[in-house]
Amino acid sequence: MNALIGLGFVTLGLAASVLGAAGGVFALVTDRLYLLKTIRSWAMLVLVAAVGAFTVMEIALFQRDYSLAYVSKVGSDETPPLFNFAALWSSLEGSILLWALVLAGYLAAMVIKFRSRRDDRLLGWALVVMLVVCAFFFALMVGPANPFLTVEVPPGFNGPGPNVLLQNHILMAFHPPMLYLGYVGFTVPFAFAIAALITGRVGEGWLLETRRWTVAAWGFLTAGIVLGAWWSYEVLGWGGYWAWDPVENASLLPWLTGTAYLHSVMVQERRGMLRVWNLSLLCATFSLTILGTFLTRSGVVESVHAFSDGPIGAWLLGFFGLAAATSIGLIGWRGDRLRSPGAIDAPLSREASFLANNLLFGALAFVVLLGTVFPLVAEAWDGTRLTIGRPYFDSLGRPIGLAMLFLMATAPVLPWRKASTEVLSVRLFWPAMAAVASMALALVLGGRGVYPIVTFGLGGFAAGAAIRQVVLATRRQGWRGFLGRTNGGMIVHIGVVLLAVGLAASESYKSDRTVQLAVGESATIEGHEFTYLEAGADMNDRRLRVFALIEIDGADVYAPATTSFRQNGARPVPTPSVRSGFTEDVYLVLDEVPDPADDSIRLRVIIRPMVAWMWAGGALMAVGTVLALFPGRRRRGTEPVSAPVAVGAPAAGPPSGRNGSNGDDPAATGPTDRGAADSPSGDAAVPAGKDPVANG
Amino acid sequence: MTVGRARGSTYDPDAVAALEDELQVQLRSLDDLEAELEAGDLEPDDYETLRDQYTVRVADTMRRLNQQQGLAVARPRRRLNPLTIVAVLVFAAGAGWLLARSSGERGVNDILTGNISSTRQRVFDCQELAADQQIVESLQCFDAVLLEDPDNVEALAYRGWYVVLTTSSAEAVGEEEQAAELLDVGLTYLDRAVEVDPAYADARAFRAAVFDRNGDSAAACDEVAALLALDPPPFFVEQTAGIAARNGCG
Repeated sequence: MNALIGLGFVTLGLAASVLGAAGGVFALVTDRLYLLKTIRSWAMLVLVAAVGAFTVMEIALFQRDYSLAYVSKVGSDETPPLFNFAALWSSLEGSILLWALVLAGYLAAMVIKFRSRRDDRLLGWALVVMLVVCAFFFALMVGPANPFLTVEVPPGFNGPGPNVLLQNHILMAFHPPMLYLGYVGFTVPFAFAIAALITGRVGEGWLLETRRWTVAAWGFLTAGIVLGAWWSYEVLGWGGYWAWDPVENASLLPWLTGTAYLHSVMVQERRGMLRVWNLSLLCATFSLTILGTFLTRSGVVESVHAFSDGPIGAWLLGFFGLAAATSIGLIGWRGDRLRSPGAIDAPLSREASFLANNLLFGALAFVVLLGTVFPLVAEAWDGTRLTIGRPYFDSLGRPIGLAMLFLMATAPVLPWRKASTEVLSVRLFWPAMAAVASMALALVLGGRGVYPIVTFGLGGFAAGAAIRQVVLATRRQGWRGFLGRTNGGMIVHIGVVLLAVGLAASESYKSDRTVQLAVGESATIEGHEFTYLEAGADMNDRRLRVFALIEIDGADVYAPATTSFRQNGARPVPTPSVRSGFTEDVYLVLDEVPDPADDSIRLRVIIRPMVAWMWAGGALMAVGTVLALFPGRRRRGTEPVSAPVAVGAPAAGPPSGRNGSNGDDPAATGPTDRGAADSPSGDAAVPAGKDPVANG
Repeated sequence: MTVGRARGSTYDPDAVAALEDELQVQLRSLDDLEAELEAGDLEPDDYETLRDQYTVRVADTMRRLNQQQGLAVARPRRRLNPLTIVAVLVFAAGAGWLLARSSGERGVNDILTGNISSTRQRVFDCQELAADQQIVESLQCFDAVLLEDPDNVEALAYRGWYVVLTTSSAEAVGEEEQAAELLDVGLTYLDRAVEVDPAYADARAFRAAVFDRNGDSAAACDEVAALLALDPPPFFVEQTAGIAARNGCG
């Protein structure tokens, strides 16, 4: 019964998507715009279908309905409720189902958000694109990734449950949905970009429509990536958090292009420049999410994340090709209309720094993409099986990352169009002091090595610039100084600095040792004393966990373990135990299962400083994203302060009429609205050289 | 639909799109006028008046459209700076060179890129190579680890120790000078290991063995004492008991 209902919902979703898209195209091509209102009904039907299919699958998992092939593959009688719920996205078919659910949710949200603009051609085409993408994912579920296929199982059958690594930590319940919210969220700006190209409305209007959608998608993707790194650290037992695994790279690629877009889009909003570049970035971001899906689900890579094989790879690769070719074709077609009216006036300007920022993000994306797909291309070409080691990624990623930190410090203080050295010296004074103080503190505390010390210095520089902006904004606007794209963005920058500093410290100053300890024996590593107290075991129907109690510094007791799951043929997987702290993490993992006949263990001790800074940085990036989603302060035209802003920054803004406010409110138009709230350095409200922070 | 005049002298693609839409509507209206005249729904006088009005509006829209398109064409295309092209090529070549340098043959269980095997695991793999008497490969393996993690105390200690062990082979074929050089090289690595982590028992034990072999009793005894002060596992105590006895350590 579950199979029948589920398949019914999936088929309904496919039909609604196809009919909605076809109806939309018909309405738009024949100019019967009044028919566009029917898209709303189709979109809601798609949502009903996705929610229905998802619910049926969850019911089947909780009912242990092993007549469904998918449940027999990822379900088991013993899986705890949380992991049983998360089992839905633990394998190919369910993950496509989750993707479709999130996509349908975004589609419905679009329809509701823009419900008053039913006759708008731009919106009509955007909804058509969304429905085409929906149709593709529902088609996958009707075809090569059908989650509701049935199977005959013997009486008393008990499934294996999800992959053991996916039921070892609560983060698994949150990391994939976050990632999907990010991946899928980029479909919305992509749909508007394609719609803008089709309608020819390639000015700045569509950017303003999609600004918050893009920021939200980026925030989800960021959270998903950071949670994934945390999961890798807490679960896999290798003591690291980022391995340049191809599937990690696949999630990083759209993040890089998406981040580049978030910066360069400001140049287009302000100066009408970089139109082709911004459209290309958005189309690339969407295409890379499909490429990432291909890498994860086609079976071309072996990875802790990858699952499945079968024909779905060809479908995904085909869709990737279609998305890329359509984007390139449309951009080429609209080439003349996309030519920018302006040019960068001076290398020392906000727009020039954003351009440099984009070049760095683009370069890093190129590096990651090349490293990830080159072995695939080589193997497809002549069968050569290559692996690309992490030194390639590290050695190119580090200098690019340092350059990005430098730009994070300088870009927010640069005015639009051009900057004088006087202005820069005033605005960069405190950030530079922060940089020097950071490096000095690191050296005093025993830090060594060029790379980490430079990272700390540039981190202090960037953090100083971000804090300066937040201080200026909160002085002027009170608590609202934390809100808006620019101020929220500065909070994100501080999060990035924490992450970068944590990354540099934990990689550069880590200690990794393995000791053999007998019961009652102690070992001293990096100033910490580790005493092996005893071994123990606990067992249930699902798994056997053998642990060793380790006392650290005569105080806290930790229990690294190995866990053998019934489904896994009792092959043990390491279950690390981590003492996390502000300054360092002590990571304990058993190198082998404790042998009852031998009273000793092989204990691996990894000490990494400042790992917690990375997770704190990730959390701060999420907080900053949320703050950026709220509208910043908007001035009324009657407020006295508006007049100097308009007069003081006439060259900074595009011609009046473009909505330059930091919200989506169409009422907030005109030059007075693009004043302090959107000005990262507050340069619109604070005359050049009159920096309140610098001047005390 | 009406669209305001294009702003100033700035090319605005949204305005172009809106003007194109407006032109379509006006042309369709002209067609409708014809149809209504033929159907008898419109008097000829009214038709002419309306047609003239629409024609004027069409002409105005086309003029504004041409003006906008003229603005788009007016701006000359920029050529790519040769320096930009060179920079891109240099970067791509550098990335390609690093890619080639960091690539290797992919084994059955290897993944496409990166790895989650730890440095510790790699040190273990290097030790396995030495255990299989593949000393040269083992030393190369340690060098790869040290390239990435120059302060890895285990790699330093064991690389040094395996070099020390090769001195026996050199001595066996009468290459005394080469053996002495190898001993120095090995000791350099061991010294570095102790410098990085003075509490690493393995390095202390290896150094004690080297000093013992060199006949430097004082240094050997110091090293054994430093080792015992660390309260090492019993294995180390057993292994160094002979050294202590031979050198008369107190």
